[in-house]
Amino acid sequence: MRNILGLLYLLCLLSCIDEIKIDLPEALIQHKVIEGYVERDRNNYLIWGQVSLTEDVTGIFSPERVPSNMSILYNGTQEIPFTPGLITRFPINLFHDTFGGTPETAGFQLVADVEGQRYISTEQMIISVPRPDSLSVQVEQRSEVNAAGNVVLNEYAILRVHTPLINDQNELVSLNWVVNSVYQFVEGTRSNPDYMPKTCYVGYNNFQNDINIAGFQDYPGSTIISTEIARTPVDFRFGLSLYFTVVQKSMTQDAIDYWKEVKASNERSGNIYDVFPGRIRTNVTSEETDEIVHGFFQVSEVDTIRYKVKPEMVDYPYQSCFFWQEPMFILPDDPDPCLDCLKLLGSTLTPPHYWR
Amino acid sequence: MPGKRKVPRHRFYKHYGQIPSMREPVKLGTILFLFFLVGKSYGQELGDFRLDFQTDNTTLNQFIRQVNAQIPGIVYFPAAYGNITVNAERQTNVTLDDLLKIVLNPHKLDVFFHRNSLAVIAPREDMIRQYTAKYYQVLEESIEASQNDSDKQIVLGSIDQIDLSGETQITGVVREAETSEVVIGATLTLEDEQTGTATETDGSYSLSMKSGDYILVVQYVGYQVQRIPVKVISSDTLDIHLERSTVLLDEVLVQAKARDVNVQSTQIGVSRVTTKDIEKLPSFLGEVDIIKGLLLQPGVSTIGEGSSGFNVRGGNVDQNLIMIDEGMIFNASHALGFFSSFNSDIVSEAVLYKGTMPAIYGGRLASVLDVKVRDGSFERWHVKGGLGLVSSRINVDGPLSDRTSVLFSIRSTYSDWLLQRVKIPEVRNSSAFFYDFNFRLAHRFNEKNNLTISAYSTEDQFTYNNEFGFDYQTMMGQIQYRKVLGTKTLSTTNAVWSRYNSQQQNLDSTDASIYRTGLQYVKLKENINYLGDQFQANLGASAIYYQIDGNQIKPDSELSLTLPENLDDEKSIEWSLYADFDLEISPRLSLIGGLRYSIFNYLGPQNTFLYADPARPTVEGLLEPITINDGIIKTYRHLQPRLSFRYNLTANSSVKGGYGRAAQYINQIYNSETPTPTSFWQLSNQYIQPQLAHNFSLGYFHNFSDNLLITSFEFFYRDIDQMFDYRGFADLLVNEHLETELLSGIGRAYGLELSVHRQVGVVHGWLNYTYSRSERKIDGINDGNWYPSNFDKPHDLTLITNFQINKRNSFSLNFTYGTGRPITAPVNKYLVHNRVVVLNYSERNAFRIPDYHRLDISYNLAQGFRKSKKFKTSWTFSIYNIYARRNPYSVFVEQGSIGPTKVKRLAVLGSAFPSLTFNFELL
Repeated sequence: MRNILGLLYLLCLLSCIDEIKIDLPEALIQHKVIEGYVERDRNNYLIWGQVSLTEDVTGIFSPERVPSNMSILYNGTQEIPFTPGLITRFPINLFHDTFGGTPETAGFQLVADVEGQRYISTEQMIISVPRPDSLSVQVEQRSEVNAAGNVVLNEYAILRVHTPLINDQNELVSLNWVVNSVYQFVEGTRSNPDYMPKTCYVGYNNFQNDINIAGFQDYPGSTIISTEIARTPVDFRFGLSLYFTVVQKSMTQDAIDYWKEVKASNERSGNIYDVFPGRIRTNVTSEETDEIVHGFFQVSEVDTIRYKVKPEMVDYPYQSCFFWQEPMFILPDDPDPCLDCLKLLGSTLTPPHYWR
Repeated sequence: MPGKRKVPRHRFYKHYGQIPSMREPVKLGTILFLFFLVGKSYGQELGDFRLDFQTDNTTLNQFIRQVNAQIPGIVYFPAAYGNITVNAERQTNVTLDDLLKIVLNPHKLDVFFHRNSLAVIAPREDMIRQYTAKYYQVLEESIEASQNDSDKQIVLGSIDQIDLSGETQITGVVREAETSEVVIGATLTLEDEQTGTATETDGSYSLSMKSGDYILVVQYVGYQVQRIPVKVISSDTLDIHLERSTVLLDEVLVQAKARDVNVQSTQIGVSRVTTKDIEKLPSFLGEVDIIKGLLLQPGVSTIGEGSSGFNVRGGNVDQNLIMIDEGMIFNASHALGFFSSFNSDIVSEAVLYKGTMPAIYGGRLASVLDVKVRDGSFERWHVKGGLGLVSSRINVDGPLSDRTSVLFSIRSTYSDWLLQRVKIPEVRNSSAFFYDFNFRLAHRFNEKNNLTISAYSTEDQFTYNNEFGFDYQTMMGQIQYRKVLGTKTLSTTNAVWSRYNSQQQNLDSTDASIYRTGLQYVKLKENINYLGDQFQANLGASAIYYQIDGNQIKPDSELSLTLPENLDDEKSIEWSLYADFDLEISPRLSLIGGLRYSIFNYLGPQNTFLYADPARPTVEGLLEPITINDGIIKTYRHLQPRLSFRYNLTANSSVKGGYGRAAQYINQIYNSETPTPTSFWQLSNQYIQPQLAHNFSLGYFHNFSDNLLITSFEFFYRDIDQMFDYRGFADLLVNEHLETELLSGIGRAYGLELSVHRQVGVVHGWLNYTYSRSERKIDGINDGNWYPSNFDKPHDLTLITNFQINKRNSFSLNFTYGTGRPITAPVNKYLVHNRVVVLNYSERNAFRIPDYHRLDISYNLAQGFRKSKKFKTSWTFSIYNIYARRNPYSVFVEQGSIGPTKVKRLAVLGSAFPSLTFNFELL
């Protein structure tokens, strides 16, 4: 009886979320997405931009690029063309030697000529980014129900950032973090003594869709302590070593407002307390047409910090191929990464430059 | 057995009779007919009866009493002449005819004899005129009734009170025997006669008949049938007390409303729900709920399970004024909206005024829900309760003295205890708790003065897996003093204090925070009620002082990174003067008219902002913060006329119409699809205008087959000439310039409601259909075009069917269908920085989720014959959503990364939910 009562409550509390087929509207009209950025790291300006089209909401993502001529309008006077879809690097010194000005006074606008129409963004100025103090990883255990309906204890590694919010100019700065990770994977040993198991370095970017932002208005004081910026299951990836790479970016007020809207839109879970979505703002417009376009042009200063996680730090004591046994017959296209770690998506034999 | 019966004014007039004054026009032919064919042929025998008599000066009353003691018949006389002095002197062996003429002649009175046993005294001038045959028929029937008295019969009326029209009218009140609570909808019929009626909302009834002997049958579902032998002589009153019974009738007569009340009442757009109406219907987890009962009424809907509040005729949730007696409720939901905070056991009635409200009500655009709590019994102690899966409830009420009664009621959940026994860790680490408490003390100083003191308190607490939680509570105290100023005038003075608090806790370490909102108000109201026969009126005034707590958020742990913020409190006073009247112009036409004048003062001092365009405040146009030190910052005044009419087309059909202007000065702020515990109330101020609306209604009402089928057809239209909606992604919480997130515009709602109600029979129930549209036009949303509101549900249908299988067993079905509500759906997507997928949404509410439909069943097992009457029990088993339809509450797109997008639905209740409730009653 107790279980029955509990089950009833569970049903009530957990509701039901399932996938359905529904006639959501077709994207009959594809809108242009015009976006780009100028990022400044310690040595370079990185310029990127592209024009694409929106896609049907239920389809598999395959962004359709739109041919365009793109450039950066520097301080409202000089257009600096670049190749859409590729990152163009300008050493900071070279940039200013060529185009004048200083990093502190540089104003950037994105310009895109598409199908005879010119689109231009508002001017943005880069705000210096405070350097992050440190990263830390914390392991959290959660009891969850697995696919079979059993209660299991899962562990998650939580990456936290500690950083000031004040930059060198003593300005409070809003921040954005982009997280990537690379882990080391060693193949299993073989009966053939001549075979040397390979060591792969596998880029793992399961945080691709995460939006980690912090508006300085939303935090007390001038320091952020232990803000979670990534969460990932503790599994074989932590078997040898794993590097988290965090790129901390400064955000203008326009940019933080834009990313807040994107985050609010993406976080709609369908529950009864979701806020009304709206049309996400853009700072790219055309004086020649009222056409709706999407996308945003932003500028940032970026700083990178990394953190190496060893197995003992997350209580993961064995390697992924530790219990592996060589099969009697090895098929050439066997996807087992213990046989060939290059089968892993994003795998390479070359360690990243920072790997130690 | 009838209950406490009002003693007839004239018990029985066998020894002396009095007849009413004779007002009927007379004709010569009829009096000849009477005297010769009726009177002479029989009456002369009595007139010839000889007697000895001597009396000095005495009253006619005494004289006739002495005469009646000697003769084999009865002499009746007009009551108006009872005290005249008569002198018979000595009379020996004189005939009765002569004696009476001697005595009566000086007073211009005369006598005629009726049949062989009656003599009637009347003014001579009337005697020379002609009485109708009908008069004598009435007289004869009344006299015969008075002569055939029986100890078992209740005698109603007296000869002197008979109406010459031949009709008598019995009036009274039907009450529950144990609690003295009025019984609404009880039917009263005369056995073997084609006449009957049902009690009104105050338990009163009025039943017309001719004089004679009858068996008055009084019945109501759940009560023992009363068969009362009555001897009706003339109009009189009879109060009846029904005793509860778990033994039901073989053929149950269920009548939710008094006879033809829907046709005869003047007010249009009124829905009434009593606990008795809904207690046998299927309910979610066995909780009988007044507000869920309202959702079965036409024109009332909700956007889905688990949503707080309800929508009336396309209105916002906050456009409904929810009142418990005179107190306003700002959050009437338990468990985030699955249940209401009204304990149905103590609610005597809930009346919903849709659209055209009487002038006595104000402050909301769409509707008024007036929930009345009953007094405790003045006669006996009474315990009632129920054990359910979610909660249990108990009510105790009874007399403290013969003038004072008290009522306690508490309902509480034990879901917390159950959650701890669930294996799922998230559930075990969660808690859910709610309670509601009611107290009511009623004291009658005397017949003209009484005092009621009541208290109401509710609280909900909910935490999930130590991650987040809600806590909201309402406290209220009321005092009501009623004084009868005259025979038709009643003064009611009310004082109300209430406080509503709500907080949301985020328990996660670095985000740990507490968000708080709330309000309190004090309300004073005086109402003078005049109750005439053809004219009723209310005149009154009220003042409400609001204090809205400034929203605040603060960190809740040392690790928390939450920035503490605290907005200023806001204050206002809403003054109202009103007058309304209910006038019966003719039997066909009646009017309810009224005027309400409201003045709203937004009070200072207040910190606020200066905008470049105060009419359209925006963040971009924000100039500077300012402090206004004025005592009154902004004043709004609105004259709100109200008018309803009813025109009877036939005895059982009518046309009604209504118009009402309404103003609303306090609004609930939320930019999700339903209010949440974090929603807060915002006063109108210099930037946020009051909401204003015109409400129009027109309806046709027709009852068929002697009230077997009650039907109605109503059109409604609401024109909202001032309202607001929210910007996309509006940031509302702890926003010191909230006005920048609101967009002003207009709205409209229109539709029709069809209701068919079969009241009688083994199979009875109702069918309600509503076509309703609710639209808005806001500058800044959807390019300023009309768009549907969140609760625009064009088609809404409810079918309730009750099967009374036999005396103990009944079965109910409830089928509900509704058009899917509008949603703002993603129409396409794009990738930002080759990394983040962004969903691009449609214009607001451009699409709809799939339609909603659900079937519920319930089975009721009443108490057996042999059970003790002192402890009555019943069981209710119900299954909610029996075919486990996963009605989508919302449809959303899940886009985890650049992989395929998944369209998902959230079904708040996606399973069948059985429940079992045990009800008990200790008398």
